[in-house]
Amino acid sequence: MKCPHCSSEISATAAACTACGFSAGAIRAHLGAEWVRLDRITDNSQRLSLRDTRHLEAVLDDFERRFPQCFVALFLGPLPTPLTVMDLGFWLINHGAFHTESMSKRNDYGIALVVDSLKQTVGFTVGYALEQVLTEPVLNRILTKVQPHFRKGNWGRAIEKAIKLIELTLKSQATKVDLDTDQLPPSLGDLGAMGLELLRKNHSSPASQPNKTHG
Amino acid sequence: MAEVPPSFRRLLALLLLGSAASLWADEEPPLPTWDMRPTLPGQMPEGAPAPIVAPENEGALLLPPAEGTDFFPQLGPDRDVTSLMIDEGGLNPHDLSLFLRGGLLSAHPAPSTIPPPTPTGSLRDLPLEHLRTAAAAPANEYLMDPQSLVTEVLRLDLDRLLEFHGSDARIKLYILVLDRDQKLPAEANLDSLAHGALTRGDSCLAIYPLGEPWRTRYLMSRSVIHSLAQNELADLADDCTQDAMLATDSMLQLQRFAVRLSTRLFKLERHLPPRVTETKAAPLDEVTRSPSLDKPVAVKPWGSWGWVLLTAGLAGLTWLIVLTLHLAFKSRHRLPAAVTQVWLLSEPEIPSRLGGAFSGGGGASGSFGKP
Repeated sequence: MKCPHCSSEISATAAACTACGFSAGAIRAHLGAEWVRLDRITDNSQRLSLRDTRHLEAVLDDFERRFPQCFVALFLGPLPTPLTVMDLGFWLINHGAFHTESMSKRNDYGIALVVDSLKQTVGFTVGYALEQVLTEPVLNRILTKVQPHFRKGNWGRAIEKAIKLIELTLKSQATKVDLDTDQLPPSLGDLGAMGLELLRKNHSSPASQPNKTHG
Repeated sequence: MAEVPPSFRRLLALLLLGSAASLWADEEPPLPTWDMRPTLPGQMPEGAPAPIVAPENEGALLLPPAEGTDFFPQLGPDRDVTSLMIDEGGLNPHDLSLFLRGGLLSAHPAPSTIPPPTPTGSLRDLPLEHLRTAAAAPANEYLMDPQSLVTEVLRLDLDRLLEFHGSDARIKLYILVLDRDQKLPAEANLDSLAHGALTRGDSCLAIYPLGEPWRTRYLMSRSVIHSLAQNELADLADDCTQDAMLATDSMLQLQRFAVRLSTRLFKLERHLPPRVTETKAAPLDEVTRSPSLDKPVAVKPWGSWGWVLLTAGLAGLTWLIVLTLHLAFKSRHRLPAAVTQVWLLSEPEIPSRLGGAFSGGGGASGSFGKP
């Protein structure tokens, strides 16, 4: 394995990089240890048009539906000088609360795609569960194919192509399961299984309230 | 006062008279001229000719011409004030048309209405008495018009044309004129026309329905048909028919047809073998025309169709390009289809690395800046 900061070879269970001292603790010293809300797209560079942003939202949503365990979080913007795209990606996967409306997702199935608009660098950081599928050579090949689009300034096209290539790679290792959309909820009173959430947790159903007379 | 002698008195009187005469000569008023200006508006000057009543405005009088205009009053907006003085130049067709109404020299012939073609089932046979009349015609009567359908002027023109053709051409040309809704009866014996002249020597007989040149039938001597290729004769028939259909007036069609056929027959002579004196009469055979000319299709210049096809082709190509670009754009921005299948990944046991709870920094990075 390689250090995300200096790309030095490190062991699979190393607590810190022996070459540069990079670790989760070291990065927290710069970015903090709090959880942050992680959206699908964080465009701090204003490089994506509204049309591209909405299109990527649809592409990412489609990805999450096909791979219900996984998610992709995009971060586009200038990074502080000592911070690299891999540093931020490492911190986002370990401290980002990914916002999703569907089932909960585990961060070890997450993919952070970080683009530094100033240094013009792009990096993929994946969780532990995806390291054996999205290996470094595979991700390097994907980067080679999308770099021309980044050079031309077509960031939306580059990101979409990268996600498509990641899908193809994941499908080669994943198990296809037919989605039964007509399945009934397990019980009649289980609102959560129906996708509904109470507005206030202390609200009770009308059937449980005693009869009140008005007059 | 001394008395003036009489001689001096006479001399003085003469001098006075002479001076008075010279004075009168200088002040003599000019000779009266004819003044065309009316003294009062709307009033004709004295001695002016009677006003001309325009035929279009019966009962209305023309106002005298305004000052500075020509003497000849305007006859109306539609008539030219064309002088008919011979010494002012040659006569133009417009002048001749005043005498030859509807003639061939008319510069602006009256527009003719084109009646619809006669349905095949409505065609009637040429009465046999007309065929007998045509049969009794002399051999040098090349235009056979037993029903007097052709106008006199055109008849004279065609007679001259066909007589000249007959005197100079090897293949004699005869034209039998039918009415537009007539056809030759099946039992008609064409060999007897013009006293059998068509069977003596090389001849061509055109059965021409006036106003429907596409139904023209061409019959030629067997010696001519056998000497020429079938497509050559068919081309002759098609060419003459098409040329006639360029005109809309039935008389003009017949004139064009006759001129065209005469010219083509002259050209056909070059392909004929040397003339052989035949001792027996040779019957006529019919020339097969192209079936496409059986329908009264208006002949249009090829150029307009070419432009139409070119424009249609360009429009189709443009539409195809636009459609391709549109589909490419739509495929780029198409909405994903409904998900009916999912892919599930295994859950490997990976030890943590670099203190990360969910990620050990695995991945890859690269630069996309210009080298």
